[in-house]
Amino acid sequence: MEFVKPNLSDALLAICRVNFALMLRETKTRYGRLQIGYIWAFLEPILVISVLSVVFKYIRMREMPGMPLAQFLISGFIPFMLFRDIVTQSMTGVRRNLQLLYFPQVQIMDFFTARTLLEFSTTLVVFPTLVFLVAFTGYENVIVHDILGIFLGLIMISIFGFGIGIGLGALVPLFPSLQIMVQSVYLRPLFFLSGVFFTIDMIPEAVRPYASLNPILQIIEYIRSSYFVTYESTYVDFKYLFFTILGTLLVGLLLQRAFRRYAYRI
Amino acid sequence: MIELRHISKSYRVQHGINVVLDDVSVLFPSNRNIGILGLNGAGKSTLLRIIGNVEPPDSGEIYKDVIVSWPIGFTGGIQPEMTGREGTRFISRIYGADIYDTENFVEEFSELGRYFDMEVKTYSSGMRSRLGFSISMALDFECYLVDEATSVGDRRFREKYRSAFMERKEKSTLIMVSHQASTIIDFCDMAAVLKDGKLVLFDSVEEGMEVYGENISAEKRH
Repeated sequence: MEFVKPNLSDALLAICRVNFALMLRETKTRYGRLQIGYIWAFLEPILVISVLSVVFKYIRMREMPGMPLAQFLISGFIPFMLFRDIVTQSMTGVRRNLQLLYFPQVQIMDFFTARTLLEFSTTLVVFPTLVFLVAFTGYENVIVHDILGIFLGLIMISIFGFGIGIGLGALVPLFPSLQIMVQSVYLRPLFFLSGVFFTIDMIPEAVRPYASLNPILQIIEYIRSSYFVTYESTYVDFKYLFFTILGTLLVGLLLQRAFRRYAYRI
Repeated sequence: MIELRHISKSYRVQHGINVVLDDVSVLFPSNRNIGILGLNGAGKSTLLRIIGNVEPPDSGEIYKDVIVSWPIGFTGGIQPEMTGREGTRFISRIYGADIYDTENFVEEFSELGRYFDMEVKTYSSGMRSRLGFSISMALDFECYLVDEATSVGDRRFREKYRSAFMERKEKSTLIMVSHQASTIIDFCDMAAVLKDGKLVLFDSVEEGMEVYGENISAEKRH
């Protein structure tokens, strides 16, 4: 008797198909039923950065060390937004797509990978668009120092977000209230603690070692060091980043492994 | 041919454990249409979902040498917020089929008309199963898993997919779940009865029916 054994290339092809289909699917529903839909991916950072620019320029009257203000905010908020969206969408992703598990080739993990890929590729469009906007309106001089470094930073923050996302995504079906808790006790404070609108040199020296334990802050520091030729952070520790991201990913995968079956309550 | 080896599945319910499949080993031959009979709640749908890889069994293995559809039923698979067209495209993408061929076939075959571009949540259950059924017909499976879907929809459409099944009887087979004996008699030439976690295969529908009839009357006596 002969049985069809699934071979690796077929399996990979199936995964690619599913992820592609899910990405197209999610693009349309990225912001729920709001009519503006995908445009919000551009509008949100533009609005936030405009407001923050005004606040910084006229109210707090601060200059950033060696960084034009708008680009300073772009290089902080966009990576943070990427992380935040991957985490929040991962928490709801399973529930949103539950019916699709009806198809054998769709696996829970596909919801997370497709969403992360979608958020990542969205950022690859939004980030340059905003920088071009700044350049074309002549608002600031634009010199981007090291594109590859920025790219690497975005990859790091995506994998970190993915790790946290799959971990929380595994737990949310068990503890639904976790979702609201993460939004208010984790993501919101994180916005203020991750260097979106400060650099680590601007905070008191005594707290810097603790602040730099936050991998998102470090990655944003790294992205800024790559973006601006005039800024070089001394608080980027690649070894630390590598192990925290890897550790998070591992814990996330273990949580998925342990609690995956709770999602199958179709 | 589809073979189940030592498949077990149970659910935790409020008081204790509900054993749906208890060490089921069975071989479904490739050239037969099989009807699975069982009382409500016996676990027919769960069995179909396990064969279709929708849900993993607690233990045991499944071997297949045919391409099996997803379980086609009332609700399965299409998100309520998708339109019929989006659902069709999504499914044809994950199966790697030609999107436009599939779309055209489904639009015509399902006879959903303007509903094809409306969200699936606005569909009646009959329309939903018509959509699911039409998509599965467009995709040419070797084995179709059908979960009660044939008992809904109007008479005319039932005739339509009945003949669609008869047409492809040469190349594809059917594993069907129903508690309606008449559907099984119409479509199948072999029966299996699921009771208390055990699945018993019968070479003819009549034999299966007989045992199933005994089950029903036993149930009524309680």
